[in-house]
Amino acid sequence: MQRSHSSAGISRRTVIKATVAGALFAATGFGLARTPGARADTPVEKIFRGGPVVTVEEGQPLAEAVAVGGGRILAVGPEAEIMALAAPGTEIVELNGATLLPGFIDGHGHFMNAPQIVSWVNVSGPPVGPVTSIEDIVTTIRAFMDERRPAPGEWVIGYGYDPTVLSDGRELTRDDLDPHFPDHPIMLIHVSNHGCVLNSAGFALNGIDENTPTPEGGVILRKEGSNEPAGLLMETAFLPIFGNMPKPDTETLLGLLGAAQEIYTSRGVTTAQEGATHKPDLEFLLRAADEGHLVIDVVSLPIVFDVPALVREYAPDFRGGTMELPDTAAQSFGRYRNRLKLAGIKMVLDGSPQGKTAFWTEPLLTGGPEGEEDHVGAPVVPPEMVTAAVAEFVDKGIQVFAHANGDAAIDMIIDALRAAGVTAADGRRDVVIHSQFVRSDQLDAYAELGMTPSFFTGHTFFWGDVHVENTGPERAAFISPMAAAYERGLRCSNHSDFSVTPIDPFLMMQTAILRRSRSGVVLGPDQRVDALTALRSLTIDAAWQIFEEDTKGSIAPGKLADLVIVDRNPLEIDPEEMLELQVIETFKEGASVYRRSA
Amino acid sequence: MTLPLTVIGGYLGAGKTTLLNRILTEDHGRRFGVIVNDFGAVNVDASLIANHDGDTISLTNGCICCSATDGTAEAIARIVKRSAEFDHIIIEASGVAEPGKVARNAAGFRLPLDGVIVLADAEQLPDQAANRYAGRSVLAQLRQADVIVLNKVDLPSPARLEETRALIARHAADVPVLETEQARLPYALLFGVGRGAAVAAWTAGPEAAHDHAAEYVAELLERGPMSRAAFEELAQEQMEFAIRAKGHVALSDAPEVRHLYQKVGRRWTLVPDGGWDGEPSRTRIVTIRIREDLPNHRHARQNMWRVSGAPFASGVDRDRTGVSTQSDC
Ligand SMILES: [Zn+2]
Ligand SMILES: [Zn+2]
Ligand SMILES: [Zn+2]
Repeated sequence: MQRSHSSAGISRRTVIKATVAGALFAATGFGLARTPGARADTPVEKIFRGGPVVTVEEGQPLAEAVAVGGGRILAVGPEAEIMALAAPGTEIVELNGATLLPGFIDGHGHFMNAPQIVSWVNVSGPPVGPVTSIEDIVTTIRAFMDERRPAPGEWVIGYGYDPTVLSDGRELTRDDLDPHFPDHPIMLIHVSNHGCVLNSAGFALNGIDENTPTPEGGVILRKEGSNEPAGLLMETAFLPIFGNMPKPDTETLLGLLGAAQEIYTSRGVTTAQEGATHKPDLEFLLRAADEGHLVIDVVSLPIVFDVPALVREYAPDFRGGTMELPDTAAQSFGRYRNRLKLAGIKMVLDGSPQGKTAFWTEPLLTGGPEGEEDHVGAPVVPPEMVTAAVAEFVDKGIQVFAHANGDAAIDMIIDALRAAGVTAADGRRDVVIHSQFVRSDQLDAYAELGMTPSFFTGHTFFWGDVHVENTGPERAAFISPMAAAYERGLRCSNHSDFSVTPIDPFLMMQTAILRRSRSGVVLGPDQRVDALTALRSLTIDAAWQIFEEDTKGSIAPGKLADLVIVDRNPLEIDPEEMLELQVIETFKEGASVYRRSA
Repeated sequence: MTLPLTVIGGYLGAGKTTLLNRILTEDHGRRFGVIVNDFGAVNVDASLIANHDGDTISLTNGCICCSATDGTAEAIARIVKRSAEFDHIIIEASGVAEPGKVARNAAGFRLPLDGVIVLADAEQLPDQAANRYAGRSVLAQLRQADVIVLNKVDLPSPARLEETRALIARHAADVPVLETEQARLPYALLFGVGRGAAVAAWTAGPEAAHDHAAEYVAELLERGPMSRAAFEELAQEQMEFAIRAKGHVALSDAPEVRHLYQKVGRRWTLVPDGGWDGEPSRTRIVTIRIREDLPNHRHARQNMWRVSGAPFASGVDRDRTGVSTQSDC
């Protein structure tokens, strides 16, 4: 239940199909390759100077100034040398002591959650949101409604509701909300995404009242001494509400794309990932791209379950088995068209560790979600399907992105790649997204097969205490083991899995450096990395993982001028202060796409 | 409007798709709303498709097939909105899913569970149960079944078939097993007689039909009001081996309350179901069980039967085909 998704309307679909006909699986390919390098006579449009330039380049990690033109970085070096390139039209961007970094690359996240999130109100506790009391919830919703002015009867949806952060020491109820919001149905989604709190208007719209029985496996919190629902609904009781949740139409979503991308640009991210793209979402993104709505690059990973439907639609004459692809399929991947690129195919092998639905080889110490003994979780797809699909993707030259949290799920993808005959020499860079409970011997297998992990070090903070409890200190200490991976020569990315946790490169850096839980326990002190390594996993190594290291991820001549100005240098700062870092301005291919308001 | 829900589970290759394809396209007179994981896998004859609309295909026999690749909750919500168009809802659980959990999630939508049917591959099951990744899921599926359909029994050697049966008996001892080929099953064993949830349609059935070729018998059991203990004893004696049973029960301690009894395989429920509405307060239950006088029907193991299952669409009044009033006719 990670996200709900937009559906492109049916009549719309036909239109989209016509404009992208031939885009997927076509012999002509998806877009044009970007060749590195800029022509020698490209005019210098901007020069950045006056602050440290953190290039993230091996040979020259620090520089004084950068010249940019034609969307590319033209030169990097000492200030005097770069200023000598200035021509009459050149704009000088004064850093005034702020730091210039390469634009961040989203190692893994869900871009299509962004347009939805920007139309919702954030009722999370710190550091994700502002809420520490029931009163805060009311004030936050009030402010949101004053700004957005939803029509009476229109849903107001909030996310991140978490009773454990409330100083009131109790659940929020409809009685807390009703006096303030009588005319709007309100739904505050629980931080687990497995439940919500409704106000009375919300209950009425969903037809839930004192006569509604509590379904098996669900919770309908009732008012004391009565059968009247109090507000909170969880699990199976929440499913029908979730299934019927209002969904914005395509036009509304297109209108939200500006604000959605600002979530990324305001944090210095210039390449976003849509890391589990369903067919209607892909159609939406193709349209958004072709109509020029994308200001940052979006890397899309079509989800494996929708591959048969995609083949049926885009290669109607192709005759093959369920998971077979046309020979030309690879041509649809790896190239940008109007800022949209398909990078590879997303597979999902297990669930989440905090939800106890990941797939481990050893049982959890605390049992299953319902107290089941000897609980190891379960795979999401049969191993035979994984083997067959991976063999086909390898055969057709398509990169695999496999979501795997538990070590049993990780074994499944290692087995499948090995069975397909993959070795490091193939240079495939198959990505194991999350790799959270990877074992040390599995990291060796990654090296042997040329696989690469995208870690989620934020887990050490957000769920670190839960992992210690569920898996014991030893396994929890090796969660997202970035140091061990780099020791083996693996290149890693780090991610926030937006919108599971916020897009915040500095939170990601901080958690990779500190690995400290909410309660202050350090998970695996030996797996802490230095600031430069933490930064590499968000820039050059994240670029490498999606085969874009020639054009992105560091500040070097010939690369795209994807840059971010940050008020202080993240390599110099005390990691404890990392969350205070402010993005001042973000550039995509030389053009300013975000500027902090003064 | 509540519709009975059947969950069909089972591992890869067990025949779920074959079974769904039969249900979707044969002329059985009942309208199913079916939620599948990918209807690309369900090879519906194009001539039977009335309309193809994004995530949904409508079939000429009144069934619709709805894809759940984007989320089962959303698919159920879509289909519940159209519940007036159906008599029954089926959800296909994915290959490693626990069908019991799927059923429970559907309970959130207030869909009463009719039964969990789990298919198993007679040849592959022992290997699948031993698979280091899938084994636990395969065994959980068997445990969560109300009825197990052991499919493809024509493929394994006699020794292998016995191995498979022993495995099922070990892990799901109390679950009835129907053995078949190509997922052929008498329709009434899967979904009962009559339409949808209506008890009247069920109990009206047995009077009418009589078919010597049928593999099962449907019997009407009638009694006056009795105590709960007496009823449970009767159920144990008379219905232990019934694959399905359904009807109204009159209990002597609450004669004015009509109770609904339903049994699918090992699952049974007895719940209050309104008053008698002027009808005499009598217990009236139809049971469906496998005929044991046919060769090969009963195996050495209790609770396992071989059926050959003509396609549903073999007669005119399918709901009643094969229903007879006596077991010895
Ligand atoms: Zn989809
Ligand atoms: Zn994931
Ligand atoms: Zn994700």
